[in-house]
Amino acid sequence: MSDGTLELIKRAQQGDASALAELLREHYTFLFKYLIKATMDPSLAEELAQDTMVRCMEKISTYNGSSSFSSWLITIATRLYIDRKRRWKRETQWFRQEQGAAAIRWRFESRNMEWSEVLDALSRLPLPQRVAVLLKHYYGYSYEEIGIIVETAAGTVKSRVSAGLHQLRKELKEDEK
Amino acid sequence: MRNDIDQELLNKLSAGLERLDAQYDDISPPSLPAVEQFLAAEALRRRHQSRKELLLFWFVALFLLMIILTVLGNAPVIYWILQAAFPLAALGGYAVTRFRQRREDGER
Repeated sequence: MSDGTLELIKRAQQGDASALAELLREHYTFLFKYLIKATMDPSLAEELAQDTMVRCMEKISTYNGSSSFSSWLITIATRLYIDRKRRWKRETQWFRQEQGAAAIRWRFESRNMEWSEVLDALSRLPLPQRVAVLLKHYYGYSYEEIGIIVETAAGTVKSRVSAGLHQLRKELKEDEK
Repeated sequence: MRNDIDQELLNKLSAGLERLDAQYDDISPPSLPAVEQFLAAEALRRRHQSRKELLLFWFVALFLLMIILTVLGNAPVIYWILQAAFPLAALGGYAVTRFRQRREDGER
């Protein structure tokens, strides 16, 4: 973390609202891009980014610097996402999932870029597996760190990553046939 | 062989996610005044909400206290039956919720 970020955190913890706003603005793009990949739904990513900022405002005094600020944001955002999905009905989950993936696919197509099969397969993974695969193999977190983020045991995370990769492999093989 | 396949999959995955990231390279974060305004409005909304919740809490608490005192004065037997029934119902509800949550997690 840069000295500037540390200074902003310190000021935000002392109640400086503009320092908090600056800190959140600095991390907004990172947070939004993480949420796009985790949710595969741009509008949900935007809603969750706003919810994360609000939660961050409430909890900033509890941030103790044991992880980087961006990891802290990922933790808050992931837990909010899991919590929100838990409250959705199964049909709503399916509908939003399809709608979100369609919005991303449209963005690719509108720019004349080919939609990737691996992203399609990733968007169909159950949430716990998708988040575990993403955090492990794209963001490079350890199983233990992911366990802390999603509040589960490292062994469970390991089996989610393994099941996720197995499912991706299977879907890609089926597409090749 | 299996490791090669896994590596190939991981390479594909990283490339796909990088392309996805690149699709959103042009998004600009909200302006500083917009973030400040959003946070201020949200803080105000939270304050109002918690004040409303506190008032509702006091209102419900007083209402329940009034009912309890009335029942205790007029029908002590019913009072003691309710004393036993409420904790049992709460425990039952908690157990059902836990069971459902576990089953949902298992299905996932």
